[in-house]
Amino acid sequence: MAGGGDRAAAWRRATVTSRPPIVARCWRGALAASLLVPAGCARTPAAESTAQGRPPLVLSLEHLRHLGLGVTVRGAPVRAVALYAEAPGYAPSGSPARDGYEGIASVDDAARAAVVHLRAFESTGSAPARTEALGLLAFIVAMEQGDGEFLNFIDVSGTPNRSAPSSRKSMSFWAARGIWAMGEAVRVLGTSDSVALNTMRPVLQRTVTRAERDVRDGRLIGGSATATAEALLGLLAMQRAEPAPALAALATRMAEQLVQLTTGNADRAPWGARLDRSDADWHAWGGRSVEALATAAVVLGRRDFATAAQREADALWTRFLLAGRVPAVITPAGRVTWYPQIAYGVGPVVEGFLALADATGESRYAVFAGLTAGWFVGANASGVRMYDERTGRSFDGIDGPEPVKLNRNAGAESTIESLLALQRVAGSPEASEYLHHRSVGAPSVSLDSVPARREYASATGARVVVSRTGAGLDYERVAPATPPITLTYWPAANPVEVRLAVRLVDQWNAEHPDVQVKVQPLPAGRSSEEVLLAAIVAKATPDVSSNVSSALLARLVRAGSVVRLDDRTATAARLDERTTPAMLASLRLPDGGIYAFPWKTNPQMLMYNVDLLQAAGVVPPRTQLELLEAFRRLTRDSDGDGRLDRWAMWAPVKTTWFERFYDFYPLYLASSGGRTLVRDGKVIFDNAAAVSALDLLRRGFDEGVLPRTNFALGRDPFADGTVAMKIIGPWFVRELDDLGIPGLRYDVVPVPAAEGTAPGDRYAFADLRSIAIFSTTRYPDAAARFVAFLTSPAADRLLIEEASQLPYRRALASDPRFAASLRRWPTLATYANHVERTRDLDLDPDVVEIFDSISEAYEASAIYGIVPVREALTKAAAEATRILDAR
Amino acid sequence: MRAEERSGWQLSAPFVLFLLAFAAYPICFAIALVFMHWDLVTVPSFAGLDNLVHLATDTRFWRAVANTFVFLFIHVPLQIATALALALALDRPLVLRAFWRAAFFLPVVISGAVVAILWSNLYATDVGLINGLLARVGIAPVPWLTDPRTAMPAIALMVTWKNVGFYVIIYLAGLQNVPRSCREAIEIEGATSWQRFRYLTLPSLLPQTILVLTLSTINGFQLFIEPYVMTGGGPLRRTYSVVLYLYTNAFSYQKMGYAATIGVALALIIGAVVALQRRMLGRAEAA
Repeated sequence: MAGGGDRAAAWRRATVTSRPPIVARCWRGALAASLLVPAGCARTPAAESTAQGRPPLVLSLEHLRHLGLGVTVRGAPVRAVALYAEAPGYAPSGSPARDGYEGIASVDDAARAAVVHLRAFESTGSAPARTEALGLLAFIVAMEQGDGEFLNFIDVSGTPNRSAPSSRKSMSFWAARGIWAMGEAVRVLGTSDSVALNTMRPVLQRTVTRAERDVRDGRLIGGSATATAEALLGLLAMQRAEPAPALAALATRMAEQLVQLTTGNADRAPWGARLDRSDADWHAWGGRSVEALATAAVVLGRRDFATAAQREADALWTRFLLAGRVPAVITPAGRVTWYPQIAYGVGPVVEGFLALADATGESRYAVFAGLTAGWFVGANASGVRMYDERTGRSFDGIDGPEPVKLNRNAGAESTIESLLALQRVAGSPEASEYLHHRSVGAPSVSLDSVPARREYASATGARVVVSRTGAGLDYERVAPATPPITLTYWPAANPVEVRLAVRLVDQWNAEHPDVQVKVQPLPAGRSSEEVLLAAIVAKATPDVSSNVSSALLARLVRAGSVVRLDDRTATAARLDERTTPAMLASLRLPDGGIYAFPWKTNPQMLMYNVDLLQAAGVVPPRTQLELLEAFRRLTRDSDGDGRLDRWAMWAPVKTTWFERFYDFYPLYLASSGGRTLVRDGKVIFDNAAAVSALDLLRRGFDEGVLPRTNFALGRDPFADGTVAMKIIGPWFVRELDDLGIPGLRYDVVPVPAAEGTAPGDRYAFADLRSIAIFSTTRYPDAAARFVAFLTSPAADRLLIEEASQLPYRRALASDPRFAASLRRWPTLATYANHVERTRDLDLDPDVVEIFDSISEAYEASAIYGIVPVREALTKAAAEATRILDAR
Repeated sequence: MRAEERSGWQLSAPFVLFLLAFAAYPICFAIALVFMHWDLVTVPSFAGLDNLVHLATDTRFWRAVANTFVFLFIHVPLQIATALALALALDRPLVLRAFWRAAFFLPVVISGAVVAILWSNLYATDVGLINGLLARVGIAPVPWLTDPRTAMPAIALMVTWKNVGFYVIIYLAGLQNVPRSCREAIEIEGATSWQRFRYLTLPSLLPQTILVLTLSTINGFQLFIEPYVMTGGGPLRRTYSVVLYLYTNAFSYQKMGYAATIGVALALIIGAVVALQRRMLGRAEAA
């Protein structure tokens, strides 16, 4: 679209040319001297202030797509993945004759490729990824034989191979992977693609029923811990999306089967490895039982599963880190075969460590994942990058050490397993940070005699030492000889957030002796926007501030005052882990960048006093007409003095722009279909949703059922029962708790929408607060790591528990990692349901002035009724258009 | 240069430098900004006469000017009357006179924002002290700050209360200068209290009255913190003062050029009004 492109280009020009010449900077300083604060005209920003560190890892699905095949199986057009691609041409091919011809493609690969595409769609919103995933799922469905068992291979004509042992109809590896892929599809696409998944669901049901039979009889799926773990991952994905007791029970039994396979302990070979049988070797290939058990711990709320997962990781896998390499096979007696090293062996260890980090909240596992994943980017015996970011190809492995035999073919399994592992690494700031470290010194020759410590170093000089402790393995960053750097962090000045900031920073400082953070609450002011602007003018900005509103962001970016975050490793990884593309869409500036990390949200909902509504016979209103009726029924004279003194709701009478966050704007967004005030430089609020919101308020004031008054400062009329309802965010829950009002029972419902508004068109006001890194920082990468820490799952749990505020995080309400934290406060789980159904302020430099125009319309038409609603809105829209056109 | 001249320059240099840095330069800078677009954080751009044209046609600005005059018409006479009355009361022999003088001066030294918050609560419709007292005599609560008719008078009353102590001091100083001989003579002549006030005290206090008038007018034009804290400029923009509008443009909208234009216009308006006052009262003084 030409217009959009021009606008983006103009934006980029503005950003690029935004650093003023010296004279202009002195001008700013002069004004600061006369109006604001002492200026820093003589100070010059550090030249390296926004220097870019190592960019985030690029995940390319190009080679995987290149291996894709369109075939017809049992009459259905489906997608599959060719098994092999030999160097140097990398043409897709089937299995060679030496293996006995199996076919051109398999369910084994297609299922895992589907998981890759589903994750890619979840992370980037890529439509081709979704289409490819659906095509691969169709292949899986076509290979099911009507009883939950699967065939595995097809030939080029799409005919299934029924004779090869690796393809026989069974409940085996391929069926287990089918469950995994279909379970992930339910989790990722379930709500939005229910039609597309219709043909898959009966197959999934049959397959789960078939798997249940094996589990009930005490058999591992396919007789293998690997297959059982992969089937369990599928069940857990389903359980996340659509919890069901029967499913939970099956998953629990499966997890318990895996727990029982543990052999040895920290001191005795095979060091806690889970073996299919007591006399079987452990092999790295597909060793996903740690990942499955750790995930089960989170999804099923069974801490003991995490402990079981830790047992293998702490006793065995940590030996890999001390040895400096991941083996291929370990016998029950502990003898090791180091080669071949393949992605299918390294990847599951990486993903297992990351799942453990999630389940336990211990960042050391994420660090171990990063160090292990280094194999993919060159930290291996060959010194060659096994995964190529440009093509998305992954070499098939390293076949031997002396001389190093690198297999440069790039078949489906290597490519898929690399992508699976690196997708998860890309969503972990800690793992990403350590991805490019390499083991120092020669690798160990056996796992019996690994050193007690091993150092890993990166090309930039960063070093970390892993060393054995009583609990397994720990790590320590080796601080450089130079003094630690110091970052200044401004949280919001309210006591709750200052306490939260202090707790988090204490933890950070203890873990990062080389990067110390100093907390300074945001200086006082009417709004943080004005304070931050003053600080920018005076060049007195902190390194990081966590109270940046969308109202300020566009201006900060135009001024070049903040650092872009989606192209820095740590913050990019955290964004990937925390948000969906849809959640970020409205937060991108015209150049497509994310310049402030969306930290927390306070979706506005209608809070109501349960007893007052019950006493008046009012049900919580869902529509704006019902809300008006509630106004009428809840307004009364409680003491019989002839004056109304109890009200349904209080709409602020002040016209300060942000007061509209509690009346007009949430009522408007409730029925606006996601429209805000401005889009692409055009005013879009002169519409039926705005009319409905303003007219509701007008009728309330006009009928005398909304109080035309400001209540005394410091008094909350909802808390003392003067009003029965209030449009408010979850932060107020903590405030009510602090007030300790005996007997107050309250609940929340979505802000009522105009009559006839479709459920999909209802949005809540987000009241988003973001974290920005200011360009004045000399340490943008350290600051980015700190931001990633502030937005980690552990920090997010603390945010909920301390402040009753919600992280801007995908699937928050259904994410079991946060369930206990959400239960800490009443109504918070309901608020959490709306985190992804929100709209915030427009990222427009003039949004404050536009809100002021709306405030005037609100006052004139609703409060005092001196101008008709439509006329007032038209006037406000014209005024807003003038503001936009004037720049 | 003679030693005496050199000493003179040396002694005055600190003040001259201060004046240049913190008065002359900002004034010149503000005038330059009138011809600029500037959002504080990006490079200023030349605006030509845009800001002046906008000012001339900006109904919000002229509404703010009108509001400020409304405030002045209420506040200035009230300020003079209450300051004079209190000064006369405190000039008499009175138990705890020093205490009362200090008590009336106290609001002057309290932060304007604190006073505004205090009075917001006094004016609160629901549980405010003023409405509480009115209720005792059967008068319905008055929405002091949310009714367009009462909001500005309520603010004017509060500002008068806050500043009255300062002007009382000025009048008390003036009262010390009324010649004792004249007081005695007019008393011997048998003048009533009103006649003594009308024909002796009031004319004697004319210089002080001119000063109070001038200062309260200038201060009144700078009305800001009270509407900023108490009403946000509402209801229906009836308490939106010129300085509040200037502040909003500068720090909420980041339109520094336009804010400077408003500031320069305000300075010109204040100058014109004070000149007019002095001209009119100067004639009275001469008479």
